[in-house]
Amino acid sequence: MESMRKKIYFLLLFFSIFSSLSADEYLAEVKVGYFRPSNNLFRDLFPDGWPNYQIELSYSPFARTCKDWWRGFFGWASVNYLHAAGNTIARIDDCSICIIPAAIGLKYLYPIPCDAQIYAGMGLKYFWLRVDNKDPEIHFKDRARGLGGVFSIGALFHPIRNVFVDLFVDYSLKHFDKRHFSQKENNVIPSDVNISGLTLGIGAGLWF
Amino acid sequence: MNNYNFFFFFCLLMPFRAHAELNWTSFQKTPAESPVSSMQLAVNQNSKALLAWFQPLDQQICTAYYDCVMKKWDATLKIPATTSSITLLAVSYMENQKGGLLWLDVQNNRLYVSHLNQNTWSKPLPLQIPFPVGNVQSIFDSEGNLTVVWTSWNGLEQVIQGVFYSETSHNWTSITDLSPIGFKCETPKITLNSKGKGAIVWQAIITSGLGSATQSFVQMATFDLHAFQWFEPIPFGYDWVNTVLTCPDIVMDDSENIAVAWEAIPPNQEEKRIQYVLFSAKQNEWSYIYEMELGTSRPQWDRNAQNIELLWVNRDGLNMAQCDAENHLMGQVHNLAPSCHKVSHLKIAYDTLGKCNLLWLCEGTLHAIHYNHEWIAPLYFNQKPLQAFDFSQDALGNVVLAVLQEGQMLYAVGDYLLPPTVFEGEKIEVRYPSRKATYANLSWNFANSPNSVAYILRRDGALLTILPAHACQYTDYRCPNGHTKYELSVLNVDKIESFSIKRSL
Repeated sequence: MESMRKKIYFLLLFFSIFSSLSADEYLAEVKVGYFRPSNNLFRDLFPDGWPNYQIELSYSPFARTCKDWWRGFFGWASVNYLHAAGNTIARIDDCSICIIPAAIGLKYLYPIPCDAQIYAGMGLKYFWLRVDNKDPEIHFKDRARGLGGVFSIGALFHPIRNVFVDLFVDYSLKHFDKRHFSQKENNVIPSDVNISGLTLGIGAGLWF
Repeated sequence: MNNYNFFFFFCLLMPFRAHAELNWTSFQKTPAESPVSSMQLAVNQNSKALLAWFQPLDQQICTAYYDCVMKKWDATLKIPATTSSITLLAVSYMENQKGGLLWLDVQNNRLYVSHLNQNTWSKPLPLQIPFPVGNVQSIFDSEGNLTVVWTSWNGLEQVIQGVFYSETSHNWTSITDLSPIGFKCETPKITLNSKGKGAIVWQAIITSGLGSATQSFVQMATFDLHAFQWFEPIPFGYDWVNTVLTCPDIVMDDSENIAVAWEAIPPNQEEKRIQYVLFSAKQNEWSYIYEMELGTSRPQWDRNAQNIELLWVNRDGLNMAQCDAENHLMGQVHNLAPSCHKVSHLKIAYDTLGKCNLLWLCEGTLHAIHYNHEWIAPLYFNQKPLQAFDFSQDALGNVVLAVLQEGQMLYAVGDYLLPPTVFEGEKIEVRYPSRKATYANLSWNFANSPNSVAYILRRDGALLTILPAHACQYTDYRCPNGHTKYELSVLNVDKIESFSIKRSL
């Protein structure tokens, strides 16, 4: 109990010092979202929604120096992790998909009353895709990677100074052509993979 | 699949195995629509049967195919007849689905032959034969040529006449008197080997001028069905006056070895005995006339690809012995049915594997015995007294049997090795996130064949897998795209594979 109390004191001290140093030019954020693939096949094979874990860093070079409207521009970079396991149609197989996108982009934060901001952004997203089928009869691992895009909107709320809560929606775009996947069995034909989808989520972060 | 391969080799290496018998189905109705007076049956090597019958009420000769694999009858083909006195004499049915049918119009003394091609019977070709005709014997060769012999009255005596039918020219040859002048001839029997060479044997009697003493002979004539040529008759001379030689039978094997047997009834002796004589083609020499013990009767020769066999009845019942005609030897006697003395309508059929089925009527009850490396105890069919029966078997020994019972024609199938009757399947497209695959789900009903140990599944002619006998479904995960043909067959303990049932997906 004593140690817990010490930790809380330490955090309060950290935030008070940190906030006094803050120039509001960095945002560090952890997000978790509900990813709904736009591909019907994926929704048949896997659950309708998958968890989408995300770490995002944003930086505005103008926040410290400018007072103009364009101090709301931020550059951002993020890494996501999506994973789903499911069954193939008409058979009970262990099939899993893992998507790791890394993105960079721009977003603009616009202040609104109640000490909150809304934002909209877009960026380039580089996807790593891995599909594993563990069926003993049709066992394959497909790997692909490629560049896509992302659009996002959201709102930041500040329950306490330098801490924000982010409610966001983003839409990722990526379509892998079947040529990414080699054909080994004559009856197992590669097909296109569309991993585009919408993510609704919530995040929490520090603004310093 | 590796496991199944292991299973397959295990099956092949099994050292102690019971030999498979036949599973007979119960008797069922044939497609005959009204009472039947005459019937003939032939099964080709591909397990398809052609049943021909005559319906006197509507004066129609009908034929229908039976597929032993699918266990179903096809549509009945009908040939109109002009009278109600038709006797079907012979039917043939070949692997290429061609066949032939011979019948006798007793009222008009005409022989008719018709040929089956592409599920259509040709227009019957008649042949007017002298009146009265009796004891008609006929045999088709594998090309559809035909030999027919009969007894006829030439105004002075009863003679043996014969004629050929050529399938190539679709015509009858001229009728030939086969028996020499001066004999009363009866009971001709005919044999034909697979090379188109054959022989006829008959009983010939000379009655002395006073009419009291008779001299009896057995005479034989050979023929070449491919050349449509008869050869001079050979008499088996006998100087036993008043000894009656009757019921002769003959067989010729592919090497042209010949065996002839008959019943000899000496004067003043009630009991008859069988006598037989053998011809070695290699030595070009007839044997002495051998005599069997007293009380032997009803000689009947049969042959398969390897052996000649003699069947006869004695006090012990029905017997069989293998005969080596080339070396003039008779082998060990097998008593097949101890209780059967009044044997009639005996017929034996061999398959290409050396198995055989022997069926006979004994006081109206049909008996059957199966040979597969050893004679298996005979069984009888619990039916009312039968008027007639006919049976034939395919290359594997599956038998189709037709019986006539009070004008009704019934059939039964002796299942030696038949594939399942139902073989179904569907192709399923399975989607993966990055791929799509085609599977084939196959299912079938269990085969009823005795001692079946495995199923063999082929895809587009190539072995796919071997499954144990309790399996009734399989998923082919490597099903190619496009049209795929699956074949399912059964393997039995004798390592014999059945015909296959096919399914295209």
